[in-house]
Amino acid sequence: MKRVSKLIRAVGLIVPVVVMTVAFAVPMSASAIATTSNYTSTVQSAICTNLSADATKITSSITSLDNKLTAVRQQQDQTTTANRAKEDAAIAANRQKWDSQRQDNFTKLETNATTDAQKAAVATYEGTITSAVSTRRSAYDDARSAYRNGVDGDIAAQRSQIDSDVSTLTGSVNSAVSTAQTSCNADSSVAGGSAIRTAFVASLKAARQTFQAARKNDTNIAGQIKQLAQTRNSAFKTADTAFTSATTAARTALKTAFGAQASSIQ
Amino acid sequence: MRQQRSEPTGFAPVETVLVLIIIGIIAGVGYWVATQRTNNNATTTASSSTAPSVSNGKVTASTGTLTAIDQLTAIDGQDETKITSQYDGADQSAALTANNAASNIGGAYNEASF
Repeated sequence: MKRVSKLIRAVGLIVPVVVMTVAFAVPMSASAIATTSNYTSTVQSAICTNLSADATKITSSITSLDNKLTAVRQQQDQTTTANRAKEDAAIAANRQKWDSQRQDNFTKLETNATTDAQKAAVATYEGTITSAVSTRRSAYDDARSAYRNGVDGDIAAQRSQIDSDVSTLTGSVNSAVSTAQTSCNADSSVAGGSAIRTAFVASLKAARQTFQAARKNDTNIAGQIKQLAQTRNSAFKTADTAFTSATTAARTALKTAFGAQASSIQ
Repeated sequence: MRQQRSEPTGFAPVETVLVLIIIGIIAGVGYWVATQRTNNNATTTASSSTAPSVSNGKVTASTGTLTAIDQLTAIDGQDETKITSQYDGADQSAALTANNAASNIGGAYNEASF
């Protein structure tokens, strides 16, 4: 019985002590937290508080857009490769078709040659036409190849320039963040924050405008490609002129060989 | 007991016949349209196989004549240059798309919001 009564007395002492401790301690700690929080919010400028988050936001946005650019470039490369393959296939089919038709005409033309001289003239004519066609096609191929190489070169140069501009932009942003961070470390007060923000925003603006100006001056890629196409087309015309000259001479020679019978092959 | 007269259920023979006739008409029209389309495609294919694919130029002179050979060699060249020119726009368009994607990076942030 004595043990029990001692135990009850001990509990009776401990419980009030605990209750009183909790009753004092909780409000005091809450007050302390509130005081600390208020202190922080009044002395730390917003620019310094949010600098890390803002820097991450900017960097993420640039990275995201840069990734999109990479995807567009990959799509561009795929499209170009596919188009060139289609073009080559269409040209090969076109050549095959007209080779066949030309051969049919040669065969028919040969039936009009009755003398050895006429047969020899027809053979010469056919050889000249075939050679002229081949020469013209080679010139076409060269012009086409020059165009493609030119396009590839211009695109590669532009990509390199863009990558450099993006790198400059990223570097400038990082520099602005770093400078702001250094300033915040030195003085993160509200009073100092205003100057830090002004400098930070000015740096970001300058970086953005520099990038945009560079891009604005580099929008002539389509014009460059157009110019390459015009150069290629001029080469096509030159080849056509040479072809016409060669075939006209061959035609005249054949007609001369046929003499009075020339009307049969016209 | 008076036997109740049950209501007729389902379709009457006349209704069934009418439905079958309508289905038949629809099927007939569909078959006719499909046949016409097939014929048109066949005509187009035949035309394209005999005429130059790009220029639609035609050799009008008699086969085996110099004029015919002149014509077909001319069309040969024209077709080839036209095939090539068809892809110029795609090259320029793709380059511009990439250029725009690059320019978009300039809008990655708005410094005034910080």
